Amino acid sequence: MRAMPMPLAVVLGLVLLGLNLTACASAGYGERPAYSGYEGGGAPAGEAGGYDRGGGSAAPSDADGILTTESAAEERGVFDFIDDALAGPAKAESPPPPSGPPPPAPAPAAPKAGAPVPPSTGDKPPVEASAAKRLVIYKGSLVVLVPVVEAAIEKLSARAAELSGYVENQSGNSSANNGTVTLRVPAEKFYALVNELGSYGQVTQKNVSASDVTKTVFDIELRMETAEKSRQRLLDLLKSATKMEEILQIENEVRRLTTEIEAMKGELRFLKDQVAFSTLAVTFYSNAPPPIAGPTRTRSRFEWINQVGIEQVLYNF
Amino acid sequence: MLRALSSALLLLLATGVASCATIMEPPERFLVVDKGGDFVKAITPEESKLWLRDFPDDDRGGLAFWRDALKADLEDNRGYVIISEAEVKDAAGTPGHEFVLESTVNGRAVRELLALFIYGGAFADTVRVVEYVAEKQAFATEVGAVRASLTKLKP
Repeated sequence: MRAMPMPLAVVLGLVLLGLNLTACASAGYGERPAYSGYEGGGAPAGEAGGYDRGGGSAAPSDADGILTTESAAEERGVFDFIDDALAGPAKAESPPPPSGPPPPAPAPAAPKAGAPVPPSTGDKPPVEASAAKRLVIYKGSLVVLVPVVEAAIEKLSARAAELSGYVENQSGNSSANNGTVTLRVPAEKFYALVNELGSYGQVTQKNVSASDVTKTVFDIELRMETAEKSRQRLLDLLKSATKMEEILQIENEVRRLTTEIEAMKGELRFLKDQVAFSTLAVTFYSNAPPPIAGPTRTRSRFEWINQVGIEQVLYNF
Repeated sequence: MLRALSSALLLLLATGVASCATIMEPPERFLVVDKGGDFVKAITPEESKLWLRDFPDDDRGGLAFWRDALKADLEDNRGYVIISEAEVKDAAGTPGHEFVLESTVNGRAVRELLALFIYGGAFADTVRVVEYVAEKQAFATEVGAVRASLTKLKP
């Protein structure tokens, strides 16, 4: 490689340094709040601009992509700026000044072509989640041929209770000689119960599925945490807000975030319940002819008793 | 001699008729449509029915046994719902047992008051059963009067 002339190298170095500093300042990098783990660094369109009194950083919106860790966000920002600087002066000058409402955010999370991808971004689950226990929802449905449907349903229901589970639903048709029972059992006992069903009769159909929701749960938790922090920050801003317009805007945003947080909490609860308790639907059927109902009345051993009663009075009076 | 015999026979018949007539006096709205030495049938204009019958009990089961046997049959075999039970007494103070029952006949709720008395005899006991059967709505209108007539029952 041919050596670069010294003055040119010095000039290029100074330009790069200058661009880097400009990019940092315009992005409000030094004032970035702790929670700004959102890729793109800009404010969401229209929403946060009204209450953003900081230097350009703003409350995040769900539309933004999520980086996995806070440090990753910072790292990503540094790479961005270096990348911008290397790309040329036009691109480096594009970030808006910190004052005034932020411009509409560009499509977030899409990595720029040729830009170095930070190691912690992407679809890989975060380190914490992958190290922790996987969150898996198990579901199963089985069809079992048994000699007596009612007895099998009773036995299985009792077994579910033994395993600290419960019967969620039960339906049956004695004339068709079949019955379905839907159980919720602790996840760790799911496969044991599925295997046990072979002892009830002949398993003619078996579908078992496992759905890994680790990432979904982690994402929701992260989104919820971020939303909670944003809400707290808004509440802090609300304390110092003086203009009615600002107050209303902040309150609206707080309301929106609260609804969002509650919805996420509900979703989390549902997912965690599904993870903790597996769902098993078992249909029992029998090839035996359906039992024919016997006469509802049998005669008493005592003849005079057979002669009294409502029907006797109505029909033999 | 023949005259004396026929007089005695007449007396016996009269006593028999008199005793039949006094087993039970049905309440006012009931019309007695049939009666004999061991039964009375009476009916209201709405065709609520009152039926008294005597059954011989050679085994002498006693009130407690027959009460339980009857209850088991009505509940378990017939599927009646027992609305209430009570101890009752006839005119002579003989203890008895009363059930109020409900069942569905042809899709309509029907109630029955069934009273049971046991009378001791020389060779066998007598089980006396008084039944008042009416549709649920009509039942309430006469049940009080029927209960009152039970207290006037004569052995």
